[in-house]
Amino acid sequence: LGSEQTSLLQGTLDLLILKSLIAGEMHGLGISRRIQQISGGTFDVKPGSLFPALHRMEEEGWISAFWGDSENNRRAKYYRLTKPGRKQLEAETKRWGRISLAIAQALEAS
Amino acid sequence: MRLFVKARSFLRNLFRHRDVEADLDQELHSHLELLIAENIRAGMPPHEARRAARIELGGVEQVKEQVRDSRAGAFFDSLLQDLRFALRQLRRSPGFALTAILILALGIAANVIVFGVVQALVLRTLDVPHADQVMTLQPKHGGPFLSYPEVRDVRDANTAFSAVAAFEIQVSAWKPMASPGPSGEPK
Repeated sequence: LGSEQTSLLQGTLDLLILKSLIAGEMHGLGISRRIQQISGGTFDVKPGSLFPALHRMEEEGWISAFWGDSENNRRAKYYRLTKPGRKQLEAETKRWGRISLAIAQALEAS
Repeated sequence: MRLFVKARSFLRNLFRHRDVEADLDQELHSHLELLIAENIRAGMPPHEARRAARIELGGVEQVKEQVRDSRAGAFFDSLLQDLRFALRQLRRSPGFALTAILILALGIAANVIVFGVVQALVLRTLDVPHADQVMTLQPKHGGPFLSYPEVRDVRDANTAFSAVAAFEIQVSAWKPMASPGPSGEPK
């Protein structure tokens, strides 16, 4: 794919996962592909970061998991956003807005 | 609510370890299958599709280890591992294990004995009501002992204590020595 390797800031991966699940329930690969798609190919989340994040977020109660059938009739573990997850997405979105604004301001200063 | 969710995951990780691990294993294998299917759809030959999928997943065991580290109670998990490791090591060198156990046993026994003596002699109060009000009387001059007539005099002249009693120390090899004298309780 040759996509540019951009390392994710701490907490940013959670935000991207929550955001991608707004579109509906998805399995791990679906989430990874969705993040690639909505970030214009900038972020390629590897399983080594994706699955720890998914399991941690499930333990936090932001997402819930269940086993279902995938598009080509294979068993896959799906994740969906919970109510606390939606709240977390809102809070994280606000926080990220403040951070990116502050960074932009800092870079514009002479 | 959030604490409840966390506590539940913690307990599940601790007591249903096998289920949690089996679930993770299935999830990663299904992920691999999905990757292979994706590659085949993209036009790769099956053999190549499988190889590319394995490369992208980057080692099932490594991913599992990373997930384990992120779980609630990962600390207890590694603690248990350390304990099992310690037990294995002890079994491997029984001489060292026996020496360590003996030394520990000796140390603990010595402590228990010393504490028992201190408890009996110093820490425990007398087995009477208002033990904190019990005083020992000693003559100001002429040694720590009072004769029985002297004790009687003290008892008859007593105005400060509610009662006066005397005790006698019999010195034998096994009895601790203590300074004798009449004792009484203040009013």
